[in-house]
Amino acid sequence: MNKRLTDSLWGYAFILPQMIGLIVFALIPLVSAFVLSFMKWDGFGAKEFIGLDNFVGQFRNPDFTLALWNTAWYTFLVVPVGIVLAMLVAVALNKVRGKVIYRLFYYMPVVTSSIAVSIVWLWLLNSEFGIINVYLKQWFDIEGPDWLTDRKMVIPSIAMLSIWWGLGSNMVLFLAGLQGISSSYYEAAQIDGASKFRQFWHITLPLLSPTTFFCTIMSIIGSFQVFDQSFVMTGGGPAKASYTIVYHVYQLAFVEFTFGKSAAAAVILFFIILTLTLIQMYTSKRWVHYGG
Amino acid sequence: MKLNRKMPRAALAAIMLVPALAACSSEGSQGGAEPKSGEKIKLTWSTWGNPGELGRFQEFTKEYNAKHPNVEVELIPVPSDYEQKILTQLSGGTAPDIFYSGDSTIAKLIENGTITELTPLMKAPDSKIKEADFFQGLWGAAKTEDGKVYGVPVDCNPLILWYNKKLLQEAGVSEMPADLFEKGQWTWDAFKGMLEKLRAGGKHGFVLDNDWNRYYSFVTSNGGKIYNDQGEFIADKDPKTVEAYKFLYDNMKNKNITFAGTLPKGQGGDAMFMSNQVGFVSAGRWYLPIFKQNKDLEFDIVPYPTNTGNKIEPAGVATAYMVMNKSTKHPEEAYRFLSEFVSKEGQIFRLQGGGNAVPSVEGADEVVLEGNLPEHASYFLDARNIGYALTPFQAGVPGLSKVITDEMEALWLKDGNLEETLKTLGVKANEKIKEYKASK
Amino acid sequence: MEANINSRAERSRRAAWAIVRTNRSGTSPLATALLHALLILGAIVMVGPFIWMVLSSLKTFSQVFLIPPKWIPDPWEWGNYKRSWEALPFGRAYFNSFYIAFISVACKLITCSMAAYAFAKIRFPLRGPLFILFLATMMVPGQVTIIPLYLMMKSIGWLDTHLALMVPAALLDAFGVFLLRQFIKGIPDELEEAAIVDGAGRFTIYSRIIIPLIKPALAALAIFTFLGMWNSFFGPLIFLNTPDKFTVPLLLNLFRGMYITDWTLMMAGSAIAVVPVLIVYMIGQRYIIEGVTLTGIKG
Repeated sequence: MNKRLTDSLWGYAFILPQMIGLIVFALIPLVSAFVLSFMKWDGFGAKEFIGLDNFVGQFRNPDFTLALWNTAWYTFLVVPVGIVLAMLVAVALNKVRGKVIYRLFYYMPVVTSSIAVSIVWLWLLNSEFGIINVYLKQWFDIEGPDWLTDRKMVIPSIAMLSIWWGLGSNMVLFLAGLQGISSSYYEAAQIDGASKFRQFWHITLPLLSPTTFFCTIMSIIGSFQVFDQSFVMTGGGPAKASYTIVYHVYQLAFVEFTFGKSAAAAVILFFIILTLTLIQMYTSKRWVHYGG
Repeated sequence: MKLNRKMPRAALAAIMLVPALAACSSEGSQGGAEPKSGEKIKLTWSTWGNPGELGRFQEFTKEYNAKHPNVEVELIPVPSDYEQKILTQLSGGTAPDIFYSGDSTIAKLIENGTITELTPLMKAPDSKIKEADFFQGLWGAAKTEDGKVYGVPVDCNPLILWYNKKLLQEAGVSEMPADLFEKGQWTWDAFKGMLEKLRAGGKHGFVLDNDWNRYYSFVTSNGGKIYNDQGEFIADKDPKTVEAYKFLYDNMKNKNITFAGTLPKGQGGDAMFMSNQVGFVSAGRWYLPIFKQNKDLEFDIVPYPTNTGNKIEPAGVATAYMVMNKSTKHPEEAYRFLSEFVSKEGQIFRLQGGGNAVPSVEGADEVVLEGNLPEHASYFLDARNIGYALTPFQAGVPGLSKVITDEMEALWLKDGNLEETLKTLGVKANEKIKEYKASK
Repeated sequence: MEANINSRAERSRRAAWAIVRTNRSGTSPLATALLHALLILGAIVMVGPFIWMVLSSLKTFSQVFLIPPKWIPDPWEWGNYKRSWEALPFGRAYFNSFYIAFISVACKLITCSMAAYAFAKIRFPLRGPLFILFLATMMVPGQVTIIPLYLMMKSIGWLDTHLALMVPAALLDAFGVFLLRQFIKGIPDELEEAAIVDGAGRFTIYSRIIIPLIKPALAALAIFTFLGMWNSFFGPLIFLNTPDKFTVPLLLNLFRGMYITDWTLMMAGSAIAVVPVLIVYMIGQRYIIEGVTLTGIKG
């Protein structure tokens, strides 16, 4: 049989289970959401087609643009710092003594339930009574900043929380990636007299790039959809300083009952993330090296 | 009028039967919803609450099922995100027959016709509850402008001030707020004086939560208004209202009042109160169960201080309403459950033994006064009798509450300018109202 | 006798030599010590909040949010754990959470690795756009898709069942597909070609060659997915009604009351809920540590 044909058939066969899931559980709701973005709907009555009004409305809505800005700033803080830290920690915990214990500790934030995490951090970061500021004053005599109540500090504070929380996950991924790098590379480099740093730069980094690529894309996709932290901890405040796009989507739908506008905001978000992802995929050819 | 008196009893009976007949026929027309004899009618109802509260609700449901063998009511608790779940269920047509509704959601439910109007049901002679049994101020957004009632307050929580007796005494306060109140001297000045004394002793005076209840209570304690009769936001224009905000603002500035800010929701004021860090917090009766557990805590309550010369002024009341799903298959049984739940007996059952709320109906006050804790528990009743629930002017405009609390938050947190903030707030709030009215 | 007299000198001699000499991997002990210091500091930051949470779960309610903060409970309320467990039907919920997570993970590993293999190694039409489509499903927030999804589940009749949670999880995981694709792409084509020459079919290649080689990634995915399903809250909240069917996160959230939350019981419950995930993590860790020996590939 034609190799092309058998390959195609095999290809479709292998993706079939996930494709079924995709179409039924993702595509259909997605398409409904897309269609809804052109409608006016309060969740109960009839839907009314209004074309692009929702989209135009969103761009004119200062809340939306603010949310966009907040979310972009947040992503910019979380992604680079989070990935770099996770990678460094993974490299360190790959070989060091006591790595099993360390790996357990570094993963603890990830397993703790999000409500517990939010409450704990709310208490830690409280400007007057939070543990962090109280100890800063006691030990170093520094007036801690208003972590969650200063408009300029709230996004960095939430970003800090997210990095703390996500470190363990990315670390696990990098550890898995590191396993795939054959030690013979390092041995050869050592024989050649390369320093640890050079080994890291010329062996580890390139061979880890598929994992780095994955973590970066997932991190960006996730960060742009941040919601829980600002919803539970700050209510989008103070004065919408931590108001994110998904918070806006939620607000428009379940508080203001304008589901069409909510869908439009979500669609715009979708295209932003999609564009960023596609850009990353096309530029990946330059720095991502597959093949052990 | 004369005709009514002459109306024969038979005709009256016939008229009473009509709703029952209608219910029967609609059940039948829905095909198979009519239960066969011996088969129970199944109803579901939903609310939110922690295990303690839910335990009580379960007990009530069980007893109800025992008393009414032809129905089986099931409680479906919703762990959190209550609004999202109920709205999704309503959208999908799978919402429970009876459920709780928050004071801001109910306006929307009335508007899109998903809940039943209860006025005619309450007028029926065999209805366990009558509209007049409930305190008028509590209807809030559950009653429309033309007097139609869509939800019944399940109980309520009038806002008062809790104060730490020990802390006040240590700060050098000689007469406790409750005593001043009895003498008719519980004024803003008296309040401020105590805050200053507390502050001088290194403690916090009063913690202010970012909630319509707290702000508006101060406003009305000065005789001010937030909305005029047309539903326009006038907080920035009414001089008494501005005065009230100025009082809060000035005391914030000199740190007599602390903003709860982003303390864990619902855990700011009481945590500080229990650690003897703050003299006054504002809340309903819900703190009682937890304050009670703390044996060293000496507390009492007093209504909001007034600036009008009157002993007491209306203040805000937090409440939730029980509503009936319009598409329920068993409206008669659903209403029966609803009415028993909110009736005097129902509320006594739910609130006895140190409950966390105050009855919304007449004749059940013993549950508040029992145990004599706090000492002046009767103030809860005084506050409730003249208090007000969230006005439909605000509840009816989705998103308006958030606009207000966001602006206020900015004011307190960033040392904003009071005049500017109120003006901006006035503009934004009225814009939101207009936008909403236009979109209908 | 000789050993006794000389032992102290010998020991100091050896100690001095140890400080000067670097260890096998070429790092000075000083650098290692510094590394450990940093790691320990980091570990404290990572674990601190969790410790606070566990300590708080052992306090009385009024002590949880004291000012100034109090770390050590006084008295130690060990009873909180018993009370937390008994306050709600946790036994049932743990069973539910566990079997839902377990089945979902098992199915997911299979379906994801199959799709990942195809996307990584098989050429078929529309491969690129389909892959992007998978990624695209992760780019829309749940708030927007929940109502259509709810209506769909209603029409299938899966409302208030665990199927509504397990089937979508088993059949759709763009994250997993993407992750495994990255790892499979790293396997050299020569391996496959050699196998094909030996007469192996696609499925054999998949099961005998690919799967064993991506064990670390599979372990990582298993950890992630188990954790995700275990802590999953929004889906169960919307789809489940009967308390008997609730999963653990739902019960934990039930501790939030109408006006106040019982933090001590909630934290106790959360602390208990962490244990199964940690066990899965430690087991999965083994696979990641053992790693994969790619003997005979480099060349």
